[in-house]
Amino acid sequence: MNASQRRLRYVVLLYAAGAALVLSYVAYLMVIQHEEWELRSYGNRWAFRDVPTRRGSIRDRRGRVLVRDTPTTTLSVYYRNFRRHHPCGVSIHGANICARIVDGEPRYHYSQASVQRAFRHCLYLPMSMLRDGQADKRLVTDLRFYTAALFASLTEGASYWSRYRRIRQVLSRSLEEGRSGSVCRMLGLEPKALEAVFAARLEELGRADYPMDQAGRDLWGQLERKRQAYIEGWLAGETIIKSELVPTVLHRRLDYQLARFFSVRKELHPGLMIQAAVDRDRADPHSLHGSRWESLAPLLGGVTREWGDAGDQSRRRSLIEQITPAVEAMANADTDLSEGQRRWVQEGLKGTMSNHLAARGRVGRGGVERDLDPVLRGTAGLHWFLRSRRRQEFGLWSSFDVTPGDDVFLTVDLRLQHLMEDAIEQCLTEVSGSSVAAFCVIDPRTGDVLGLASRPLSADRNETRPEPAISWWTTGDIGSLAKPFVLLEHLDALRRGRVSTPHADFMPCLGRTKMPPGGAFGRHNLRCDHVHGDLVHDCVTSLGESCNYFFFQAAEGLGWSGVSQAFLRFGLRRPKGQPVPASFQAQLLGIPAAQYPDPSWHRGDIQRRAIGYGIEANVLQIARAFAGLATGRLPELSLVVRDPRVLRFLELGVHADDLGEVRDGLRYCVEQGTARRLQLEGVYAKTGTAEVNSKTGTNNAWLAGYVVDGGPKLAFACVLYQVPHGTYGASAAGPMIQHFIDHLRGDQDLRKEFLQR
Amino acid sequence: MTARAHPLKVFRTLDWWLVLVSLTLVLVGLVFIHSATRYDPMFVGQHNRQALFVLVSAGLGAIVVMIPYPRIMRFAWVIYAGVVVALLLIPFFGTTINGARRWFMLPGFAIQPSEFAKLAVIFALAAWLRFRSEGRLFDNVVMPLVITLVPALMVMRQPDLGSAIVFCPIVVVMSYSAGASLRHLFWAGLLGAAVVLVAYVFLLEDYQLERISAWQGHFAWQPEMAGGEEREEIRNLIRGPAYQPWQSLIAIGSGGWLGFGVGEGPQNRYDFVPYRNADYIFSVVAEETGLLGVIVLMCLQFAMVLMLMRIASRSRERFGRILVVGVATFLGSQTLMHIAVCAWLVPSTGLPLPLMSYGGSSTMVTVLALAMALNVGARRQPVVASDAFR
Repeated sequence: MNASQRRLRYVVLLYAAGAALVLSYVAYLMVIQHEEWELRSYGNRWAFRDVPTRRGSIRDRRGRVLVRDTPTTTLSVYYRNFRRHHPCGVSIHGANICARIVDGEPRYHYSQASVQRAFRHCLYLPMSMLRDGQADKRLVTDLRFYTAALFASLTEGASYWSRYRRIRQVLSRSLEEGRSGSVCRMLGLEPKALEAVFAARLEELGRADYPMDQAGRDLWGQLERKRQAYIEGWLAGETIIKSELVPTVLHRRLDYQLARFFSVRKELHPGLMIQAAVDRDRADPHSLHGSRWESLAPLLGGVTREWGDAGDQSRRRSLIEQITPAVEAMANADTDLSEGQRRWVQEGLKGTMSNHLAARGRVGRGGVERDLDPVLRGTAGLHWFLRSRRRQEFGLWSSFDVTPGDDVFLTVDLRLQHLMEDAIEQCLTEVSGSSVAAFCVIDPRTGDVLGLASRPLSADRNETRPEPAISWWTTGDIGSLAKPFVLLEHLDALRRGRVSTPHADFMPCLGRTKMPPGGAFGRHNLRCDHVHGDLVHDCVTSLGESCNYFFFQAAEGLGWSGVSQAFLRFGLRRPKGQPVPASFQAQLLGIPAAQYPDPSWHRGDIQRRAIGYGIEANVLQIARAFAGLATGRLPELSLVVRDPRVLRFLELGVHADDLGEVRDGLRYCVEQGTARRLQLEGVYAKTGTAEVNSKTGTNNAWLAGYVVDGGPKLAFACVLYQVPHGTYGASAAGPMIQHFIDHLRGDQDLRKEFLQR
Repeated sequence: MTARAHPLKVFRTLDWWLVLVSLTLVLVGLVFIHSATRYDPMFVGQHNRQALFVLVSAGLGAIVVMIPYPRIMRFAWVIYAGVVVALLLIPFFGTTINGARRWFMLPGFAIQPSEFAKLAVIFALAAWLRFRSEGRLFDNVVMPLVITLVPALMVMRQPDLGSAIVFCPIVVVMSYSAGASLRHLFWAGLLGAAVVLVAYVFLLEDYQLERISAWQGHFAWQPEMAGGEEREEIRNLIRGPAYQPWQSLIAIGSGGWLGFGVGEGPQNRYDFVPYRNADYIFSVVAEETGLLGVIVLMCLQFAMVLMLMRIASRSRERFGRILVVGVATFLGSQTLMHIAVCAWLVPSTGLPLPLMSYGGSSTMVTVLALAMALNVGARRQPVVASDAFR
């Protein structure tokens, strides 16, 4: 072997070593790291997609739609494309780069006039601006791009990209040849013709220029916001600016004609996207089939794409957990998957659903939308499909079908609601000094809430604030409304022998005279507003006249446990600790819960408790308690129509005669007692006035009861909060019921439905 | 005066094993070009065009084989000058595709002079080194470097870094086999490294630096494991400058031992690997035939290089020998670099796999280079100049 051959051998050995090295690395990738790469390959081609569901409607008890999903069309901007290919976006960015090169500062922003000026700036751009060395290389490169993009977007023939490429080639050649003059002339284009095309494009874009979001931004305002975000990233030297890669919805409910216009001409408006979407549409709260229901509007709550507090997050987690078995079954359906692939599929499916819930899954916020979200939301679909790099789909491997949400039927009757809205408004107009009121009507036979009205109205439809009636909320004592419950307990105690002193032996009412210190009523300074005298010996008249003396003595006889039991029986008190009594309804689905006030009880407070001080309740609870008096059993309240088979009641467990005496007392109250001036026919009710604030001298004025006619079919409670001292339940809250009953009787259909058997 | 031999007689002494191996590689290439383009409406049917290129190139190759190579040798500098002129004309008459101006567009096809430059440089170096076996610095190192750098720099300006880099092993190995001293080559290499360093710092474009930085970092990438900003950064790179090599890596790694089967590779089929009919054809082979296919392919390529080296080793005539060494180095180094690029062992750049990648110019140059080697191997030429080094 000669030297030459030896050298060749070394070369071969060197080559062999190189080949061995490369082969070893390839083998390492293909064998040792195979699973890792195979999983990445799998992840490349398999993808998941969520399919949004339709949310159920909310209707009244007669099926009238209060809220529903309505298909809409959205206008979105994909700013990267808009900036790079739309003549308006290109003009603004191109002209600003020129301005940066010349003045160091951009001077164009999105507005009809500014875009026009920017376009003219670019149209007559001199070739010299595009030469290397004119400015920072990045600026010149960008300017060349925008210049070519502008002329490509305004000319016709072949595809956009072939036009763009041709212009770039001509530009490059001209720059190399050192040609001068304007770019437009150099490209052989007529500026006037381009101006006309641009003006037409600008005019078309301007059609979408009207307030688009809650902040009142119009099209240009929204585009300007996107431009600012882009410029921030650009100045920071970011290669990929995320904000421009995410399509932003400019308008959620685009006019159909406009949507059609942009859909047809989408090629001419790159970056703008018209997409089908769904909006939560609400009926007019001031007139739905001639009925007002504005108090209910905030009660319904709203729908949002954002999950809020920890409770929301926990709901979201539980929703993901709910779909986990189905996801696992979906992944396990493909038996050829490796363990890693199976895990990847499961995580991908869960992640997709999680992202869906986070970004697109609309969640109920507040009120009915939130509390009944599981019923209303339905289940989003999931698609597991094969796709190419260009997002072309090759097949659907597996899917979850979309399950639309169920409709929810509220127990509310819009006709009654309308009367209640009128009544509460009129009452507040007539009674000076109060602006806070609540009115509730329920069906005592079922516990269905037939109407809820309250003032003031909440302005925010997504956040139900603790307003009266539309939340489990109260500002204070129920006053004399407590007396029927104490009387019933007293009569029951007498019957069962738990009380030794019958009311026939009670001391006569001394009226305003203060109790003697250390006297029969203990250390408290108790009084009655009237001198009822021997009237206390009759429990019916005592209730009808609302004699405090009677109830002080009754409370003495009942003792702490007896008075407590009087309220426990009607669910008006929740004792601390467990168990919660069966009578107590802690909340009502759809009604936002608030912390339930539970003032501490002392043995010495029993006389005050017996006349309703220290007993706080809202109109829903009171109406329910009076429904108990009307029917002898306490219904479970509901805002949602239920199957009659699942209605739940709690028997009061008292003798019918005792209940009869209490009802007589309520009748006496309306006919001859404290509510006699209201002249309510066929109504058994009780007034209540609680002095809630002695400093400001304000009272809570109550009236609660039920309409005897028809069965009874209606129980009600209404309250005016913080009325001036000297205004009483009958005079303040009474007109509300008066107005309601009068109009109820005046309406033939309603009379037939609610006042007749 | 000797009687002129019949031109077809040369086929009797041809190295048919080399022809067979080359033909096998061409056929494998056609199969995988078909596999890479069958689902892509833009490129479907490219295997037919490639077959046409092969046939035309084979026809030209046959003519080259029939002409005694010393006659061709006389035109070595003419060929070199022609290519240099073509490269000079590229900035004026060339067509830009994907940001690079490398092609002359002719009706129906395009010519890429940088491919022909490789063969021209081999010719020129062989012609220069033919009588220079003393191992002198100027004759065996400096001049070959100058001869190579002229077209190499022009190719680099197109820009076509991949093709330009292939000139390095060609000039080094040809000089070495022609008798250059190892010491001189070492210093030249050191100088080359310094030039590369300067180029890295001052001359490379932003996108080239980005690719190099992505390549440096990718060995430690674990996109699934990374968290927060790191994950986002990796994702951005994978979507941006690192997209091609990363997808190629996925294709290779997912091939395993036996691959997915021809035409069934998902990375290929669903269009994830770009330029898979040319610059990334090895990824398709690896994905669809697995490691076994890769070994067979590399064995074939290695066998081809070995056969070329055997021809060189047997040739006593210096021009022929150096020329064949040049051809072997060109094919061998381009093969290894193509595979290394596909496996992202080196920063990504576009290089065809000899005889297998789609491309008229590349195929023609490779076939002509092989024809020249076969020409040398088939003839026993009188030794005009012998080795002076021992």
